Amino acid sequence: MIHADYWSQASGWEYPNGSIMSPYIGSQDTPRFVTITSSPSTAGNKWTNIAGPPTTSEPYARLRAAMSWLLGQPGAPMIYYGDEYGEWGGADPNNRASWRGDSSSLSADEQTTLALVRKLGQARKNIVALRRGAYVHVFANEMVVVFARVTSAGDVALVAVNRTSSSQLAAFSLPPSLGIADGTTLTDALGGASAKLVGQTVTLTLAPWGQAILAP
Amino acid sequence: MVSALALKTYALLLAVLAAPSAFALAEPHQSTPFVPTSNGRITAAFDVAQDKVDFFLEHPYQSASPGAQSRNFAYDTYPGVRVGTSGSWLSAVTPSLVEYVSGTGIVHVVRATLGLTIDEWDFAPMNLARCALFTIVKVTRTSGTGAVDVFSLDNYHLGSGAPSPGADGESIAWNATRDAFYEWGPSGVAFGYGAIGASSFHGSTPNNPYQRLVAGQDLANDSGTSSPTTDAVCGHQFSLSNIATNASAYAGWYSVLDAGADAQASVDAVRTFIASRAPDQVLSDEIAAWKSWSSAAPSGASVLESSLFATSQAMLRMAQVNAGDASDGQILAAVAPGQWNITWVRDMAYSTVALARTGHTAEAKRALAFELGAPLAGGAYQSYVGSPYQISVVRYYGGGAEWSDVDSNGPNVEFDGFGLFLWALEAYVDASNDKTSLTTWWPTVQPKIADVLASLQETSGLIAADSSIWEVHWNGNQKHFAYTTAAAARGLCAAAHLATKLGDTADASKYLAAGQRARDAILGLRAADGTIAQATESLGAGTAWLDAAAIEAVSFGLVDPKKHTAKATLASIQSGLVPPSGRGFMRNQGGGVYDSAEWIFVDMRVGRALEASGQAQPSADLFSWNVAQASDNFGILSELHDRVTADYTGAAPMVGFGAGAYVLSLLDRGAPIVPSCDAFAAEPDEPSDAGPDAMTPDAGSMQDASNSDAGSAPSSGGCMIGDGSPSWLLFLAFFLMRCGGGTSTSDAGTGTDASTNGDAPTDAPVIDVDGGACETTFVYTPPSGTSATTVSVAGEWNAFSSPGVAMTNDNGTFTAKVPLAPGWYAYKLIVDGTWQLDPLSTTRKYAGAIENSGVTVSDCYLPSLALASQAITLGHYAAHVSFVPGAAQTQLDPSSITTTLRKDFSDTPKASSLDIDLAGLANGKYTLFVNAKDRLGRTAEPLRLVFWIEDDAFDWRDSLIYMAVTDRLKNGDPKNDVGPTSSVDARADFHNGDLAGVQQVIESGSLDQLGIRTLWLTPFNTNPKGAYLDSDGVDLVTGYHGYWPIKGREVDPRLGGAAALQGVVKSAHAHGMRVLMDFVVHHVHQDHEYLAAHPDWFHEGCICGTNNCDWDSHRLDCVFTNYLPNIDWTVPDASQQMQSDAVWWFDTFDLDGFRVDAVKQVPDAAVMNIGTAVRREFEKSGTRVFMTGETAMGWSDCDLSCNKWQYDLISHSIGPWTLDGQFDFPLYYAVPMQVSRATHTG
Repeated sequence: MIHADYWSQASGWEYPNGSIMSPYIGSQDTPRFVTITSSPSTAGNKWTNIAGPPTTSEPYARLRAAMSWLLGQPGAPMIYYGDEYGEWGGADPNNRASWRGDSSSLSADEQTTLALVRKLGQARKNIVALRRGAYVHVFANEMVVVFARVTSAGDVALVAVNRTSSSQLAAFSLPPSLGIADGTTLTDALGGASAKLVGQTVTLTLAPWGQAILAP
Repeated sequence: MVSALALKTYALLLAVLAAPSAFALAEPHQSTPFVPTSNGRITAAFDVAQDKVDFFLEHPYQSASPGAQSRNFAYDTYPGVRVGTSGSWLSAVTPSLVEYVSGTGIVHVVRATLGLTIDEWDFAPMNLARCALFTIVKVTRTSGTGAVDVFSLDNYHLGSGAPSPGADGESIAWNATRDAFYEWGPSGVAFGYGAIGASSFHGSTPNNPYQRLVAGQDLANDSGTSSPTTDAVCGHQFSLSNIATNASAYAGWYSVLDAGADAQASVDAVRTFIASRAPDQVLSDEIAAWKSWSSAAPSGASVLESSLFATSQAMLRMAQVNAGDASDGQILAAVAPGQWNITWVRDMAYSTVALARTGHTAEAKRALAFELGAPLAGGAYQSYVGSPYQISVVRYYGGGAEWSDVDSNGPNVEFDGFGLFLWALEAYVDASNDKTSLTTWWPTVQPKIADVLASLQETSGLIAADSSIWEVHWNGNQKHFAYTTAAAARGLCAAAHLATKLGDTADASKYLAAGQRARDAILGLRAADGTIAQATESLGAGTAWLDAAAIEAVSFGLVDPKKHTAKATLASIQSGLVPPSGRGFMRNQGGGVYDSAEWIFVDMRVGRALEASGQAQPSADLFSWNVAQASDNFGILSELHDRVTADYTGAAPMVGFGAGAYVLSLLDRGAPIVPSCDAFAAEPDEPSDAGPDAMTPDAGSMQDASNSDAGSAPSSGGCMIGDGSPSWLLFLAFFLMRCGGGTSTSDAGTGTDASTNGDAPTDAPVIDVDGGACETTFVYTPPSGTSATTVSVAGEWNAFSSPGVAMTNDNGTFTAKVPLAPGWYAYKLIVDGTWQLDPLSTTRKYAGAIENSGVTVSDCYLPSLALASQAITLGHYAAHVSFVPGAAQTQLDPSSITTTLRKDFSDTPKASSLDIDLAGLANGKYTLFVNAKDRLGRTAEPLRLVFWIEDDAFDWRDSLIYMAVTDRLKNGDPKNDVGPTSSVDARADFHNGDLAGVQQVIESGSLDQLGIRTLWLTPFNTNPKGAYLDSDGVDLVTGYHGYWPIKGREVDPRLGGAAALQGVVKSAHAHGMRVLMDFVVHHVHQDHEYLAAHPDWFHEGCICGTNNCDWDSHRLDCVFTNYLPNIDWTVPDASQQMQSDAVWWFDTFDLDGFRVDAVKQVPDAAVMNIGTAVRREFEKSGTRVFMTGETAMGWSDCDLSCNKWQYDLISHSIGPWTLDGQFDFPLYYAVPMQVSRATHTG
């Protein structure tokens, strides 16, 4: 996730100061995220030989990881209707299926996804730093990214995402500029395990495609 | 004089009596708002609606130099009285009489209260060379007992700003030695307020005299303010002790302006002038001085006529600047607050002749000396005139600089002024016999006026085409006007007369011959019935060629009033130019509001010609009507009367075209018109039984005229609004556009045609700009690290001719002020020879196919409303709105204020106050509209204050956005469902989702659960029925997605129409959610209503993404597909339509922002112009409109530098007046697309 961390920061460097950009993971002009994941070779087809629905849970788990990254980004992130539960479909017009968000027939994967995106949305709504804070690099390796959103010292949220199919143990130190005192307990706004800053280091275990939003 | 109130009642009664008649004539009535007084250094005015003085203009003229605005320092000043402990300020007591003391410029006001009759006189002393206003008060007891005190209150605003300074930072100090307060402030000027005779008490902030009197107290003998304060006031108190019944006592005081920071020298000068005189002595001396100056009316004048004659002389005197500097001697066209307190050459000539002929030769001489001494340096319009000249082509700034008014039709360049000056000079020399001055002046007059005029004469005898009396500007609007040639004939024959006086017989013969050729050429301007037409070009066009100004050919003694031409011209005016009021005459047939008002100048000049032609009764009726109107208006004559109601409109008091024209008419009454060029133009004698049949067309003259002018360019002539007054038309077009009314698409840059104008509402405000350009400031600062030497600005107003107007360098910042009529202009800066866009401009306007900066000029004569302060808390909105008077400085009409609160598309009237205090507001979005007018009924653009009441102040960074394809979200209303479209795959057809469905989703709380604060929906505009080929050329797609608009302002019925969209917005706002409209600015569908009506607003192109037509290099000219033509943003009309549509959508649906479609494929003009139009209207209270956009870019999996241009193109459209942000395309490809793939290891 060094790459994801780098290009997220690039947006901060490259666009004018004060601009409010909209990151997104899908739109009316892109194939649905889960279909790009499940059927990369047919996701771009429009009329024939089109991609069908995912047959495994993995695309939904990847979507949840992507949503965790998205709803942690600065700016005004955009959710394309249906992505909140993992609507599927390839290129236009297949990416514009009728919405099923209020349906009782969502699959278990879709329900799991919807539940997580709601938690992410509520976390963003409730934590000012997650909406208005600056993006600050904290930690990234091939598997995991951890970034902070900082409005002022101590007014901070950490977003951690695992993009792999296995659990990842991440141990990372926090930049002193975040203003978090040693011994501070960081609570996961998504309901996962809390973490503690010990010796300026946080040790965190992320489930496969797992995520956490940690705030003091 | 009868009281103003009695007059109102009288007029109402007459109106009621007259109502049943279909031919009811408007009746005289009081409608002028101000009664001014002036000594040629300052102008003050009693406000008839406010019952107090609230106008004190620092110079009589409007503008000393380009960009300068004379300031009105008076907020208000008025007397008060106290009997025992009962006090009253007289601004609260309605006068029983307002008048001028006969033969003077002294304003007299009578009121009764507390058992007293109080006379108040306000005047600027004519023989005091200071900027002073005196008030003398006489108190007469009619009943009761008790000690009487008189109070003064001086509330002048000496803060920052112009033309109406604020009250910020004012200081006041008491000077006991001089019995005066001094006041100063950020304005840089100082005022002294002193007693005439000793005061008994004095008071100032912090013990405001206003409250002291109301409480029955004495003033507190304050020493002034201890530090600068906001809105400091002061006053004096004069204890008159116990006045017996029917006895009187006087008090007096003054206020004096000193342009320096210390008022003491001016106070001392005023005290020296007063010397030991008591207030009543000061008053009686002033009245006596005025009366000794005033000349008696000619014998035979009635009492009312004589009174108006006296007041008109006073008006001529008050309109003359008497400042002992370069401005001295000029005579303004109107006395302020009349909006034309500017010196026009033409108006001044009529004033000068009137002064000379009433024996005021000293004043006439100063007027002529001003023009001959004005620093023209040969004139700025020599390229039009052809040689150096000494008379401005239009008018003057106060300081004497030449002042044309330039708009997109070029400058006004008027040649009638040369002839009129010579006419005035002759009148002066005849009246004064001052051959000495004539001899001194002649070396200037001859080469730079008389010879210049002679050089403008064409072989036909006509003077070259010009802008003339009604100021039609240039660029093809100039014409060979009868008026200009008549003025030239009159002036050249005057020059012949003057040359003879000097013994120069050779030049006398030359000028006489030229004058006679001009005189005779007027006969060549006749229509078939013998009427003198407006101009060669108007006559050639065949419509709207009748112009009342042509009657000057008769009044100037060129055409025999008893012969056919004069009679035919008068008959045409009498049948063709009578307004609906039935009173007087309009100026021409143009149909514009200014054209169609009754002109007092026209009445006076036509009345004169009527009498001389033998129509004594119509002339007398016309004359007595105007005398009666003026008598009901304090002896003030107006520029115009409303065409229906005959209310005073335009400028009042009007001077050259009002008081001066009246004086000349009364002096001439009963006298024949004598030929001014030795004889009248030769015409056959009229048969004694002349009737309609006898009026044979003079075909020979017609033929001559058209032949003689064969070389001149054809003009749009009759298609213009008579005089073609383009600045007014620009205003109208702009006004319609701004109001979003209908679908007006007039191009502000080219004026409009007569039929469009004819559709204008007849109740449109008459107060308007006629040649009234507005100073527009351009500023350029070179980018940091660079410098510039020479910067200028040029644009459509001068046909982009280089260098245009030079910008003045002040410490590296370049500034220019350009007078422009209201409208939208393309322009560029020329920086050291290089044409460039103005980095500060917020619109782009194309001229031809060339991109330019755009500047929108508002009508500076209209007042405006501005938010001064605002406080928003839970449940509560408070704001203070400032009324900013227009250039004419007419103050607020407090009775005109309305405020309306809108929430959820429902309006509730609120208090009529500019101090807004709304409590008990539930959470949600509100819009407060504030409306106000000035006292002449000019309407300020409504102030729209958009605000939210909510628990936590919203920031657009809080806006997690949810995007829905409305057709695919939820079907909430089966009534608007449609069936399947033939041959279309269901995936590409309507699914019958609709706005009702969106509303249900909002109300279900599902979006709240996601933390959504902003909703972006696919476009609302109606899309076509039927299906069109997809980009593969095989499969069919319908317009379910909304991106194929066919209507500019209609919500697709399949989405549920307008009501359903309002429902969505209402529910969203109730959930604290913002709504973004998807605005398609790149293309329309081929069935779009605009394409049918305006094919020139669109262009075709190669299809994006095909061979030799890639999405990047052809991004601005390729089309998406063959049925989606591109909007051509280089067409100003198309741009204006899109702008006004955007405002319409926002206004109609209370939207919060835009997502702009296909930003990459449109020129900067699209995003800038829409952003500016919407932000200018909807962000006045600081609530930010969110604009995001789609600059669809890719991303390369390499380093940052190889993606640089992607970032730069997206960033290019982000800025304060454009987009807040955009969709982050590179980030999409860089991150989520990689996270989605198992294989990527990044």
